[in-house]
Formats: sequence, C-alpha cells, structure tokens
Amino acid sequence: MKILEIDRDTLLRPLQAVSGIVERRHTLPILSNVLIETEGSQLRLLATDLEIQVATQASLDGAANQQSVTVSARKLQDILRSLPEKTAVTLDLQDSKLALKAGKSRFNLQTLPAQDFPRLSPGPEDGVTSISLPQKQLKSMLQLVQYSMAQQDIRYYLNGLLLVIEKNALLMVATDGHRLAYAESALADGHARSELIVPRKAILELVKLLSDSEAPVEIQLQQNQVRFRFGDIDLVSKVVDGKFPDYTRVIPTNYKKHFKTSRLALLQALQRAAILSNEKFRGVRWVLGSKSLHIVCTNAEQEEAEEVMEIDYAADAMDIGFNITYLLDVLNSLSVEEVDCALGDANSSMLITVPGDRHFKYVVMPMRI
Amino acid sequence: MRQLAFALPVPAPSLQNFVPGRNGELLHRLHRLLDGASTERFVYLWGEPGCGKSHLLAAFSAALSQTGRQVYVLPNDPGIGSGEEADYADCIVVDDVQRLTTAGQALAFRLFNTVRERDGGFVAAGSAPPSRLNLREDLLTRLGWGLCYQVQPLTDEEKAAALKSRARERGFDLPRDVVTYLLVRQRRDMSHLLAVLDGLDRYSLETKRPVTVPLARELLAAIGERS
Repeated sequence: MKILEIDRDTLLRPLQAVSGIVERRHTLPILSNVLIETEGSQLRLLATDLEIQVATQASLDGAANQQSVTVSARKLQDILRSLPEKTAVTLDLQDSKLALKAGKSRFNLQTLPAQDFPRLSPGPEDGVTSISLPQKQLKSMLQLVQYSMAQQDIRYYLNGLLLVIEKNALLMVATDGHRLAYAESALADGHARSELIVPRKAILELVKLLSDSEAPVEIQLQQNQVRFRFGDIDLVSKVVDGKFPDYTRVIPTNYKKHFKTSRLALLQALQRAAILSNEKFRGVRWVLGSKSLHIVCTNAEQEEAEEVMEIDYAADAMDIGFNITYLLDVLNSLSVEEVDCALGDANSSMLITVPGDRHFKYVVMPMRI
Repeated sequence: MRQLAFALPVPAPSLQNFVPGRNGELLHRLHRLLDGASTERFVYLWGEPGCGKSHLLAAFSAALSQTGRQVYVLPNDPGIGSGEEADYADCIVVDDVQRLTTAGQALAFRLFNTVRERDGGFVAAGSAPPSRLNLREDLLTRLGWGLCYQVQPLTDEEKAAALKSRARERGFDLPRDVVTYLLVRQRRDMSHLLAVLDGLDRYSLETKRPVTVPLARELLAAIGERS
C-alpha cells in the first residue's frame, strides 16, 4: 500500500531534524527507527531515545492515506542523501517491508509496527511555565554557555544546563566543576520563578536545530520534562534529577585586580601559545606584571612558547596557571570586542566578563603548575 | 599539574542524614526536644571519637535555629566578652566539653545556670561520661543533671549505608567495592571515613574521573606520601 509520494528534499529535511538524537546502538531495536505518519496532507516524523523525543512535520502536495510505520532512521537518511536532489521518491508498505523507489533505484527496508513505538507522555498541563522568545536569542544564549557542561560526570546534575526563569529574565548556567558559564537575557513578560536542568544531549541538539531567525521558540517547563516548540519542530526532553549547585556562590563579586583587553588579540595569542602546550594537561601560565601579560606554554618535550601582551593591568604582580582549553572556549564563544579579566590570587578563580554588559559571566578555576 | 575545582556545596549534618544505628532512642529524644514535647531540657552525649556526637550537636543546633529559637554554640576556648549574646539564647550547645579551658568551664557553668532559670536547654557532648571527665566539679554535676546518652558507633554495615547515602546527597553513587575498600584499608570511625569521602569527591571532580577503587587507591597513596 502506498504511503506517500514525495520529493527527496521534502522528506530528507525533516528526517535529518529528528534523527540527530537516534542512538547508533540501543538495546531496544525500535529506537533505531523513525516513526513516519501520514494523515491528510500532513507528514509527521518522530524519533526518540526515551530521554528526548523530537517530532516534526511537513506539508504534502497532495492528500496521503492515513498510514504509520517505523523504519531505520539512519538507513533511510543514508539512502535519501545519496539520491540526486529533487528526485521523486515513493514509499510503499508491502507486508512488513517498506519499499522505497526513486528513478531506477529500489530499496526494501525492514519495518517495525508503529503501535510499538515509545513516546514520552505529554506532561500534566497544570504547573506549566511557558515562555516565548526569538530562536536567535535562545540559540546565542545556549552557545554562550553550552561548552561548560560536564560530559558523563558521575554527578548527573552537571551533565546538563540549568535553565531558570525569574521574573522577566531567562538565566542559563553550565558547569563541569572546573569552570562555569552564566548567561542572562530579558523576556517580554514576567513569570513566577521556575528552574530545571536540561540534559546535555538535548542542549546540543537544540543548538543544531534552532535557526538564527526572529521566529519564536516556545519553552514549556513542566514537572519532569521540558518542551521546546519552534518552526515545525517539537522537542520534548526529560529533565535531570538532582540539585544544581548554587552558582551565585561560585561567581566572585569582590575581585580588585583586573584588566581589559581585546578579545581577539588575547584569543590569537593563546591559540599560538597552545601549539606548544602539554597535550595531556593543557596548562598555560599567565605572568601578570605592570602593564604586561606574559603567556607561557611548555610541553613534555621541553619546548616553550611565550606571548607578551600589553595590557592595562596595574595591580600586584601575579603568576597563575589555567587549562588553556577553558580560556579558548570562552573567547571563541564570545563575539564582543573586549573582555575583562578579574583575579583574586593564584589559587582562586578568574572571572571573565564583557565590559559594560552584566548578562554574561565566566568563572574558571586555576591550575597549579 | 593540578586543576583546581569549585568548592561545590556539601550537605550539612542534619538529623535526617544521621544513620541512627543503635541510637534510635537518642534520636527520638532529640526530636522530642525540638518539638518542645520533652520535659527534659538537658542532654549530655558521650562516646568514642567518630561515633556521631558532633554531627548530632550540629544537626540539632541547625534544626532548632530553623524553628526560630536562638542557639548559642559555646567555643571550647572562649575569648573575653564572648557569651554575652548567650544570655538571651534558648539553648546552649557545647561540643567536646573535655577540651573546655578554665575560662570555658566557668562560662559553661554560668550559662547553664542562666539558661536553666530561663527554662532553656543545654545540650553538650564529650569523650566520656561526666563522672570520668577532668573538669570543675560544679560543671560536672550540672552535666549529669539531665539525660545522659552514650552514642553507639555504627556497625560496618551501617557505616557502608551512611557513606553511600552521604555520597548520594553529593549527587553521585558510591560503588559497593569502594565502600568495602575504604572499610578494610582505612581508619573506621565515621569522621575519618567522611573526610575520605570528601577527598574522593573533590579528587574525582578535579580529575573528571568516576569514583572507583583505583581512584581511591591513587588518592590515598598521594595523601600517604604527603603526610
């Protein structure tokens, strides 16, 4: 029975949107599949890993039969990608096989029953905080903090991003215990305080899927899950259980030693020095003196790189070490002209901010070299 | 080279995260004292190091403060002028009474009498029962006036449970084999074991490695070299 007749690109685009979260290997075979549903002139695709679910839809030119089937997301995507652009594709369901025909190509794919496909149950409607903001705004905030999330830490709450809605502000915090990134931005309306931890994978997927447009994204914070709706995409994720550390205690407020410098000049100096940094420890030494910053990297082969920058530093001389990756991360994620670096002592964190902008803060712990 | 990590907040001692073991009755007493349901207002705890006295005193003080009552924790060696705010306290708390200096003992004795007149409480802990302490006689008599409990140390099973639940409060699971390793290789009083847990938590965060037996072995070897 024919499921649909469609142009390659019209199917491939939504398929790529949902299949990013499909795991290559899973104990439950059906999770490698994508659910394809047609009804009227609507095509719906859905994929899940039981933690995150992404659904999307596309409009078909003509009416289709009401059908639903699941088939390997990766194989379907590989086939479509390898077909020439604009090829007309037909999908036919024959017994338990899905026949895909395009020009002179023909593929028979195994299917699994659509009724067996797991879905995250929609959360209770009450107690939901819902906000809306331009996709561009959400995406740029996520890009400012996401690299600080932990990866597979034993403390689950670090493997995600804290999302806080407070009055008319949206706050985001990510930390791996070594550094912390904080971003804040204004919302159009005021809301009751609400917070949750969005898992790492959902955040990385969101950054990929959000566009740089003014089109809105709606965020619904529910009891145990969070939902992002934008364009044709509906992403639902479970939230990370646990209590996120109190970030306000980590962000220093009383540092007296500081200097302003060009972000790009600092970034480029660090990038050059990083070539000779120790591959395992990635340490970099900052020697601060009157009006100067010496950046020194050495590696296991006793090679050394030194960069000297003229800066407006006037406090006591200081010698402090950092993981250079943590510095490159923040300087790469920002797009501003200048940054401000504030310091305590060689065993305390450094605070990096943007002069004249209190919406972004980055705190990085030093390294003893 | 050593990457330093943020000092993530550590769960404070509470009556809820105290593993009671054989101290169920004592815990019950403390709860009743908190609820104001007890007619006894003086409690003295004693027991071997690491049996939980300091935890119980800290937890009790915190819980009492939360109910809006004033708690004064008397330092062992009070300086001149200290204890003035204690005259208005609803409860006086003294840990390690055996370490009270002469000035500390005098102040403890005075505060006991004032708090008693004001119908307040006096909760203290020490290394031995009052009769075996080397303190001024009038203070010892006072300590013996109320309820006197020996805090029983936990069994190995209970220690394992306590370590695991403390780790969970810090946000991670402490594997069984690590618990066994610590109980076999380390001094087994809870204060030491919890300090080791603290070290493991920090070391694992600094190195971004899970808490495992090899990690514990590495950390303890490093500490051994330093000391």
